[in-house]
Amino acid sequence: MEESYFPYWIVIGAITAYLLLFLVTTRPVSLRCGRLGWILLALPAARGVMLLAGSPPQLSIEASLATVVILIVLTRKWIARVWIVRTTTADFWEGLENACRGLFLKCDERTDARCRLRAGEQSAELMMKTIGGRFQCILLPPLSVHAKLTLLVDWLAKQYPGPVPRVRIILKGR
Amino acid sequence: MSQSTVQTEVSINNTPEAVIGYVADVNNRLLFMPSLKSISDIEGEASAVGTTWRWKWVMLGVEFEGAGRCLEHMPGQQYSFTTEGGITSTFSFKATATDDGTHLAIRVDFDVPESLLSNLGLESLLASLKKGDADQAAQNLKVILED
Repeated sequence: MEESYFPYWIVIGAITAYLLLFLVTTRPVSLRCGRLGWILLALPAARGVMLLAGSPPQLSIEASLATVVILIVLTRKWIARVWIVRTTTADFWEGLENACRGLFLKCDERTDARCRLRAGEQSAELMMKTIGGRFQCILLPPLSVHAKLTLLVDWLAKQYPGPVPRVRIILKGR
Repeated sequence: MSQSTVQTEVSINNTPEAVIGYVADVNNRLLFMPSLKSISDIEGEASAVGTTWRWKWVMLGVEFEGAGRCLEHMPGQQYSFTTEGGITSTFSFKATATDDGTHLAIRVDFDVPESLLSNLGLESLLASLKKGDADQAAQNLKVILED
């Protein structure tokens, strides 16, 4: 019984580690719900491997995992737009407005909770909800509206990378 | 030391002055260079010859850090900068006026220490990554400067 649950514990451990890294770091980082969705998809994948390896099917497990897959697939476009960012409201908006100027994007109708991004004739809304002072829950605009929004989100990803630290190499001058 | 060059070009429906002016402002670089992660410690005017900065570059999940310096800025014509350190690169942007706006040629010359290449066999991979980055940067400039 314990052996059959082992892959699930690995996935739960990975998600817990990702969340803990996000919570303990002091750097401005982001937690991207789309990435959590991808990690969660490892659960049904692990179950599929177990079934192929001869594990007996269990209706309750299969039904739960099928529900997880269906929910992620149905909501994937929306989930990918939700980020939790570790920064203050003022710093977030200041950085975003600077990036919008650099991209020639208009940032209209701005309040502390939202702004309307305009590129030519098209526009889309970016929304934000403060969670406990240093965390902001962001709903990004749909990227299909204009290519400049993709560049804005690329810039956000550079400003607020994921919480997993990278290997760093410092190049010395000759 | 091994030398490589990658080149790309793009037509942009805007004036050469606007294109080179945008490229030359070091503050804009993060918005169009896909693998450039951050620019900091800018010393000097944002687009002036001799201005220096620190940069972070991400390649294959590894973060590299080094220094950059503007080498040349001819408004509406040409701009180039160098990145200094273990991997030395020179990025050159040359704008030519056309009927539709501007033809922008981007050239990246870079040196990689032989030790890095022989130990890891990275030369072709590095050239391919640089070419992909230059192509993407050119397309990003088109998106930013045409609307």
